[in-house]
Amino acid sequence: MTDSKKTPRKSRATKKESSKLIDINVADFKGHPLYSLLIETAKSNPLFAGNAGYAQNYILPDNPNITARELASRLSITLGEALAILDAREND
Amino acid sequence: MKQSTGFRDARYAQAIVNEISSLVDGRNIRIVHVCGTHEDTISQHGVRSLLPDSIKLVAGPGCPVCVCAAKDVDMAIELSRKGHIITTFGDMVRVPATNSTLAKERSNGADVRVVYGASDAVSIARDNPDREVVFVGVGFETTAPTIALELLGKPPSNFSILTSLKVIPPAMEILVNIEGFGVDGFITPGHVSTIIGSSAFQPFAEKHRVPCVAAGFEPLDVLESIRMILKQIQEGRADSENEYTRVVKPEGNLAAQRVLAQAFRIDDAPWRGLGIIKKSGYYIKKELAEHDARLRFEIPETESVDILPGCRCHEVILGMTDPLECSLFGTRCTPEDPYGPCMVGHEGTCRIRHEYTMD
Ligand code: SF4
Repeated sequence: MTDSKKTPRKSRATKKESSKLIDINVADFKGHPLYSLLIETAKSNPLFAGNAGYAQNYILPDNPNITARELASRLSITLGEALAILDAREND
Repeated sequence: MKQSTGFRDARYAQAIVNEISSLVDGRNIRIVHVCGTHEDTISQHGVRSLLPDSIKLVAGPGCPVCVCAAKDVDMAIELSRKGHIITTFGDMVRVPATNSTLAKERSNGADVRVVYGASDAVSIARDNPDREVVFVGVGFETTAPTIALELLGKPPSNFSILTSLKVIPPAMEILVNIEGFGVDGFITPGHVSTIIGSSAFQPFAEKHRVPCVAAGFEPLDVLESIRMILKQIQEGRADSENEYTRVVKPEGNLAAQRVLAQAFRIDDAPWRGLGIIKKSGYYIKKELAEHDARLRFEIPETESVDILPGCRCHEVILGMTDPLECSLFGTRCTPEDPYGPCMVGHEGTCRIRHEYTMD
């Protein structure tokens, strides 16, 4: 498959729209005073257990170094929930 | 529209409301529907205001563009940036993804075209044999057969589909398992039931002991389906019943089911903000792989953001949060400039709420 019809375009911004995107990882955020609150809130999502289970079974074994952003994207979940899944794994 | 008028007759409505009132026994009843068109009917006609206080009528995941994973939209955006023609439904063009929307890409010069269906996209492909034409196919069981038909109808080789098609019953499984948000009855979606049949929900009703009633889209249809659910509860039954008999058959549309089975396989799928739901997505079968945009183009995996900071769409989609509880509702997030996917289209709960509650 060729992409011969490429249209010249501005390079894609990584952060845009009033800094909507936050690049964050478990290690970066761990000492923050609100960290435990974030994790607890994320875990209170009723779908957390199912998403954590899916990640444990199907994603983390092949991607042990996955970042929270990558995991959130793979699962289509919030960044907070992805952080909580990785945090739970670290604490196992 | 004689038929429509009949289904909006205030005297009949009052009679059903009286029966509903006689069926409630004081305990709180939570009835969930999973269809954006039902939410539109309910909000437009003030159905909630007619019900006893003990009945809570809640909108679940019934809006296809709301549950379309951000990475699918990001992928479409990426393809548009490569100069391909992107075709999709009108609502999809405005759905916010990680950094952009297809509408923004169009204003930056990308060739993004709104179509009424996959057949229009196929026509565009035939008219542009030297271009790649990608149809972003979003929807539930209702939309999927029309897309399947195009796939099976030998489309031109420059035509492909980026599918984000979802299967509704597995999402209902998720809803019944949410602790603290029990479901006492489901109004099952009329359009989806037309395809898969009202009987398709019988195993689900039995397994979870939850009454299900397929309903049409007039206010009396919705009221009658609520009455039927309450009647089942009173009688201690949990069956899949059919209020929408003028359209829905128990067995559904067998021809549509056949084309679905020929064109698609069912596998795990991401629902925006909710996570991956097992066996909840239609994917193109390998025999038709040349028309599968996911395989046809090498699109690197993106780090997509489904729920932007502050947006509560994932809670709204599950019926756990009312749109009015989102601090961005009507301020940062409006139908003219949607911040979250639920504010985009006419099936989105936030959009509907905005339409009928804001002056
Ligand atoms: S009002 Fe907007 S930001 Fe808030 S939940 Fe709805 S779509 Fe998301």
